[in-house]
Amino acid sequence: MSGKTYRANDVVSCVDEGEDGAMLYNPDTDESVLLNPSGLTIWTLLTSPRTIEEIAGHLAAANPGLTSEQARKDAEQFIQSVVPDFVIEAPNEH
Amino acid sequence: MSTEALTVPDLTVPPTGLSRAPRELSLCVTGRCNLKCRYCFYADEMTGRSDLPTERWLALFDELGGLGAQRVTLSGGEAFLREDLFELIDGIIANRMRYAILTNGTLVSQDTVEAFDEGKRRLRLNYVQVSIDGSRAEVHDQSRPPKSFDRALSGLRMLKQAGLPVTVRVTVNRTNLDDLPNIARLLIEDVGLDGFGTNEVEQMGSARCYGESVVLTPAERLRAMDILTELNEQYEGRINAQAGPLAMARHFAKIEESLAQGKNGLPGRGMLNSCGGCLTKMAVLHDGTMVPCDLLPTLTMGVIGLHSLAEAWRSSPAINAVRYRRKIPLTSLPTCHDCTYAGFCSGGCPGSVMAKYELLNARDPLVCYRIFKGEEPGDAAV
Ligand code: SF4
Repeated sequence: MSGKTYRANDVVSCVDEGEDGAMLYNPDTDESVLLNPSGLTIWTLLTSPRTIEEIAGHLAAANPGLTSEQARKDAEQFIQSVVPDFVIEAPNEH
Repeated sequence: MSTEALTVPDLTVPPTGLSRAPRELSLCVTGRCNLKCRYCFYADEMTGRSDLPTERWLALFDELGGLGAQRVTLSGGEAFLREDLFELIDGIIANRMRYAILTNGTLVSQDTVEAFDEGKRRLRLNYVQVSIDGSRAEVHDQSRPPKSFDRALSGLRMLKQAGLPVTVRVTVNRTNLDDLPNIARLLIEDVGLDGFGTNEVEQMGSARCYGESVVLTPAERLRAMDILTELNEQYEGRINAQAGPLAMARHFAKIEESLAQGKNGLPGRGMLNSCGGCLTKMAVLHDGTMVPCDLLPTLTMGVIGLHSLAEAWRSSPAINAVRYRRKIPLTSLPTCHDCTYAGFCSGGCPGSVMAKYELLNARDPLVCYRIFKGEEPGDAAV
């Protein structure tokens, strides 16, 4: 994953359901996924292309208790769970 | 009797956990139809309301896209009568939604089929559902104008040959009961469908005028249940039903099985909650009237373009009244208070109940197990 750049898939809709998190829906594949509030934060970041390192950096800054190693793991885990339906690789866009 | 049933609910307050907007909508995009079938549930709505113009539908799709709606089902009337149908479909696609079409099939041509190849129209299509009610013209056309069968079957075959996701709904009625095995053979073996769906003519819309000739008698319904259960076994579960004789047969078999196991109820039963109560879906009629369901056209929630759909979805007493049904125990109804089967029951479709009694909080005698068993006379008071 290192060095790769990711961004939100344009076709995906996102509905913020408040405390319940947010629902992403890809109408091309008819797949949906529920994000918790921190997933929604990452999703919002991905409106512009981001690397794992950048996502981890944002997570660590937003959660002072989080080690940089854990932040990176969380970022990787998130990306793994949403690629390719909801987030796509954007190698040349960064 | 539950005390909850006696409290007066504030129907402007949505149930806890309700989404901010509907995920799915049923859209009757036209009140026009090229046929005049004897059991059209929408017939009463087709007079006195006019079709919304293209731009009003497109504005609705923009609103729905902003709210994150996921799927719409286009029906009518006959959806393919709208010359702008594919323009509407493109508006749905542009707003990140998928779609399905319910049709009588008679207007489907090679041009129609090819039109699905443009852009993402094919990718975003969930299914086209064609109504086929006979294995041959003499049966199908008994309740529809002449030549309907040939044109519907030709439309169905074209859609299938083009590799589009196509399905069929067979509406069981007095004219096609004996033809059901032939219909199954035609659709599965000849046309090559994976399966098909069934329901039953109900006393609503134009069937109110033609009732005697189309609506099943109790004895015929029983036969339909047996025939469809057998056919479903023969075709290894390829016949579906969410309502009608096959659904009833399954439900009643489940009750008998549970009773034999000594149970006195089933999970999620015992309340008036048969259809899930509009927690993810609502409908819009062809003149823009928002309603909880197209089978509940008199429960007005507002008008698109004039009222906010998101607000109507959450705060309209009309839809919240349907949602509130799930809190009403069947044992609180005068018809059901002493019923030993109440714990297995969900009271039937609110649309059918409304059509019969102009009431929402009542049970539908059609799905009543006690009536089915002959333990209560057929048409008891509400
Ligand atoms: S009387 Fe009929 S509708 Fe009422 S609870 Fe019993 S089975 Fe259900």
